[in-house]
Parts: sequence; structure tokens; C-alpha cells
Amino acid sequence: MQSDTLLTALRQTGFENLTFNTPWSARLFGMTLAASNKQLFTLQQFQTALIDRIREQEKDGCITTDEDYYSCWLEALQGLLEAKNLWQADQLMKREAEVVEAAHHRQEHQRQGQHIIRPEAVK
Amino acid sequence: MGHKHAHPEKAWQAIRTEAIESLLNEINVLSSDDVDRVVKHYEENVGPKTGARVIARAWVDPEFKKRLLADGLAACEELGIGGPETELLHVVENTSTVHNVVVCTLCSCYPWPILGLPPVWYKSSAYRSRLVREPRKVLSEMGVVLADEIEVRVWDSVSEIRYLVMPERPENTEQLSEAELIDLISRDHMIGVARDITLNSQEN
Repeated sequence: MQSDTLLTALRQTGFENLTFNTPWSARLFGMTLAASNKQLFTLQQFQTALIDRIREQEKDGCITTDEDYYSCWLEALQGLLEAKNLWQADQLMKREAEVVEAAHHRQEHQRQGQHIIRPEAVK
Repeated sequence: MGHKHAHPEKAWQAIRTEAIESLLNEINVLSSDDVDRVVKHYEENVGPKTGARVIARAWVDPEFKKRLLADGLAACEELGIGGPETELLHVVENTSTVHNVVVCTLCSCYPWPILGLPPVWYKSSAYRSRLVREPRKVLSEMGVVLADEIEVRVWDSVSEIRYLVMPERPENTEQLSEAELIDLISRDHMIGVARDITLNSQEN
């Protein structure tokens, strides 16, 4: 098993001293604490959901990166929120498509060197 | 077929996180300001230095130390440290014959308000599964080689209890100020994957 060296390797990654490695993990963490502050769920409930998700994940493999870990976190949060029926089943999928579409538009504009200023905004 | 991998640069986690936040906004459950506040707090105010303040105070103030060992969270509150994220804080003290180390085997519980967010290795399957099984070996891999006569106590952060290791105050530090003591204490000391505290080489 390579896990003997794994810990050492993980320790040596410069990433470990950053608070959040990716912008999305920061938002995710913030959303979770803010949602529990608003009593959408307790942190105990979240912890239970996270433990379940991690157990599932570790049936297939190990958690070695921040991305692995926060992916579990994301799915745990998603599960808790969906259990509250805050939105329709297909609503999240639709919103994801919109997010992708918006990102695509931004990229297109950048690629073409355009600024997102519409003609009516400059007249 | 015409739409495969249109945006490989945006991770699915980033897309889903943004979509969830946007929906929560829309139904007025959570505003982006609420989220911003938490993130900013963790990025700017909270980190291992917070824990180091607690430990250094305990080193210089025996009465505070007693209170800290009796009820960690209440003592931290005296220093204005804490938050709704931690309910019970158990501070465990290293001695010449005892070494404490903290893990969360099931997920990666961590005293966020005291130490900030955990490092990557703390969340890894390897650390979580191996520390309980072979603590001396894992510790030695991480640079802490313990003599046989030192007892190792592994604390598993289950349910609502969080742990913080209080390292031993190094010798010959009587002349140091509290602020200087704070600088000696690292995150790893307070998780228990570091033991020796090295003084800055300024003395000679």
C-alpha cells in the first residue's frame, strides 16, 4: 500500500496551509454554516450526513485530496437540502445548466475580447 | 454529440455549488451576504493563531489553565474565542510521559473556531484510518518519534466533542512574553502531530 508515503506526501503539499483550496469549497463551507445558523439543519445533522457520504465514498477508494473531501461535503449538503423539498426535483439541474451557460457566455466574450456592455447601456 | 465537454474548465462541484447558492438566494433562505460573512471570517480571522493564544494564556496563567482543562469552551469565551460551530471543547495536556493526538475517524471534525480549517492530510483516509491503528508509526512518519515509555492517547472527535492538544511549555521560556510564546505554538502542536517546540535561535 502506498499510504505510508501518502501522509508524508499530503503533508508536503503547499496547499495544506491555505484556508480553502478552491473558491467553490469556500462557498460550500460558508453556505453550510450559514444554513445551520438559519436553522435549516443542525451541524450534528450535517455531520451525520457527511459521515454517511464519506463512508460511501471510501467503499470505492480513498480520500486523498481536498477535492475528494469537499465533493463528499457537497453531496451531503445537497442531500440535506433536498430532503427539505426547498425546490422541485428538476430545478437544480436546470439551474446548473444556466450556470454553465452563463460561464460559457463569459468565456465567449473574453475570447472575442469583448466587454459585456450592451449597446443600450452605452447610449 | 455536438455538446461534449463544452466547459471542462469549470468543475462539476463549482457548478453545483453555484447553482445551490443561487436557488437558496432565490427562495430567500440564504443571502450571499450570509455566506460571504462566514467565508470572510474564516479566511481572515480564524486560524491556528487563535488556538495558540489559548495555549499561551494557559502557560502563563495557572488559574486560566485549570479553567481551560475543566471546560475548554467557557475558558475560550473569556478570550472572546468561540462560536456556534463548537459545543464542547476538551483540552488534553501533554506531559513528559503522555502524548496526545487528535483525529476524526468518521469524517474530519475539527475545532474550527479555535484552529481554523483542517489541513488536507487531516481529512485523508490514510490519516483517519491509520492513526488509531498504529499511532506511533503514523506519528513517526510525521516527524514525532516517541520513546517507548511515553504513552500515546488518541482522541477521536466523535459527536459534538472537539479536542485541542496543549503542548508542554518548553524550558527556559520564563523570560518570553505571552506574544512570543504564541509564536512558538503551531497548528500541528495542537493537533498532536508535532511535539517538540523549538525556540527561535535568537538566544545565541
